[in-house]
Amino acid sequence: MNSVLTDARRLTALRRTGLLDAPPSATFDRLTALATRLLGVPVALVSLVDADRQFFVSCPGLADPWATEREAPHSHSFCQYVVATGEPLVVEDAREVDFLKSNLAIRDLGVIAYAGVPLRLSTGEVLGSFCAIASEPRVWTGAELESLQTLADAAMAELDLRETSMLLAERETQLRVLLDNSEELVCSFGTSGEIVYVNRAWCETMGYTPEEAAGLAVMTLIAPLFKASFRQVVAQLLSGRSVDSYEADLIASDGRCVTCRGRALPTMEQGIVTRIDVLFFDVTAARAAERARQVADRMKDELIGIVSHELRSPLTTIRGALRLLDKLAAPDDTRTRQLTGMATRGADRLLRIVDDLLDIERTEGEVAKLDRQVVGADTLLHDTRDAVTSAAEEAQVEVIVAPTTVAVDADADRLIQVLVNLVGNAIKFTHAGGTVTLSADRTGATTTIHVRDTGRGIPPDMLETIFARFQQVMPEDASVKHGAGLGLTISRAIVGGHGGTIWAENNDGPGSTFHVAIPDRA
Amino acid sequence: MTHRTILIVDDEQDIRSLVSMSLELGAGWTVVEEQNGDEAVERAAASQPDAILLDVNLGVRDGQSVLADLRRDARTTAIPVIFLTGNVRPAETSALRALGAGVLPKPFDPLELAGLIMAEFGWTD
Repeated sequence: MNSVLTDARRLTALRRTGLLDAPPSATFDRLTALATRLLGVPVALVSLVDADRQFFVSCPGLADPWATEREAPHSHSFCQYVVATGEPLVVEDAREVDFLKSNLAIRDLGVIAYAGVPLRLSTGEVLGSFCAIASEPRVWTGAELESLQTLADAAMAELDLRETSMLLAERETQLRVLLDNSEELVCSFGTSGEIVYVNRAWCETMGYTPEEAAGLAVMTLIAPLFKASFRQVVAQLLSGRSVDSYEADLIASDGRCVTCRGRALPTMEQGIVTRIDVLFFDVTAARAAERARQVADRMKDELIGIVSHELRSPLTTIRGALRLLDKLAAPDDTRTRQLTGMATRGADRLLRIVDDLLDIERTEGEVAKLDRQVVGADTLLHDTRDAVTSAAEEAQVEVIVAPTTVAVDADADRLIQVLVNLVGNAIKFTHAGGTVTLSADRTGATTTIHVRDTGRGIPPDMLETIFARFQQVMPEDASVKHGAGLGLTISRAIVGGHGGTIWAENNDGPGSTFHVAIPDRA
Repeated sequence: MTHRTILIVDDEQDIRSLVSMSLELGAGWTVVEEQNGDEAVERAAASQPDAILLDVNLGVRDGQSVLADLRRDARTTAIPVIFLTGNVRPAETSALRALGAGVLPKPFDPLELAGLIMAEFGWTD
């Protein structure tokens, strides 16, 4: 018996009614008053049986001190048996019932006749008893017991209602905690546009308190430029369709412009939209950074274009004058020739840098204009070798093309440009007698071309940075090897334009290998 | 080689001098210099060159508008023109060619300048 009374689930349900130790409830008082009249008894109880006591939610007719304290220990309780068995308990004279005759309720509360019905929640837990008590022996009629059951049913309905509203209140609290701890800004408004709810993130960003926000017309918060598109969004929502992605500027309470990106959902009741929930993020900082980056990129590209262009005129006169000076020098004037040669090489290097800068700008600006065709990698590799023949001969480096049958989906001219650059580098940094090997293979829908050399290799910490502008593995490379350090940057831009990747690795043996992976177009 | 007269229109003195020396030394041609785009039409009408080398960026105005002036004037409308430009982007050079002129990118090799001009206009002598 004890185990039912102390069952944790039952005790939890008992607490959740909110009735234990609470002030008297008019609802239950009406039901017990009705019981005393209908059954003609002095006392009726709504009694909740706790682990160690019973608590009287309503107890008209009960004597003090019980009526004032509104509780009694189990030693004074008949109701505990109703709870323990889950069945009604009907007693004509408690003094003649074995398990009741020593109960102190007889002596102290004057309980002689007792009729109690279990108060059972719809979830099954029995919380207490609805009972009628008389201080004289009494035979309970069927009609009386039926009336008692009906009143108990009404009490149980009330208990269920309390449980439901308790659940709802808990859900609401939980929801509010979640919403107020969400970084997402949440705002709900009614169909006429008046704000009915905002969460904490919304208040913090927009500078309103929840009270100030409530009732505000949502349209007054939309920046003028976005009012038209917002009206369309609202129209879609009112027709019952959600909006998955929308961006607009809002005006905060202090006049700040807040760029928001998010989604909106209509809440429907019986087919009619009753409320609109909007969830969004403040993307002001991200958008500002994006705009700044775009401006910086454009300025950088323009600057590169202008500088390159403006450098060409002085370079024209420098190189032209040197060329004429060289021609005008006497045949035996080797010193003049030496000097013009030196100056010409310097001017040529400057010109290469200018050309590379232009090439980067063009590549980054024109990746969308790639003319891609499916071509045999074999052809590309041989064309590449042909283009570097004289450099290879001069450096006494052998360029080998490994036979391959794979094809690649690429802009052939631009890919050859990449490969010539890679092979050119490989030749520069490979000792006489070394080799550069070109090969290609295919995995899934990606063709990868490899340029493997037997040169000096690349320091591990530079395998990635060599692709940045003006990077040289060794500072003296720029002068000794006549490179501006832009070739790999251009190559990466071209490969990136194909949706591919380019990377470098050191070989197990001497030298390094560059890989160019080009995926097929989707 | 046939003797030719070339008008160079460029606001940079050094470029004009370089073109003059290149063509005079390299091919023995005569070079007339003009720095001002606004004067180019009169200078061309007066000297009747075999071709005009016209810089695209003349400072206060651009070569394209000078070309338009040359084409509008009956005295200069038939004189072939080559633009000199530091802008070697294909989109730019093809836009210049679309105006009915040749294009000579900077920098050029002065010793090959005469040959480049001849090739541009298909002059064989």
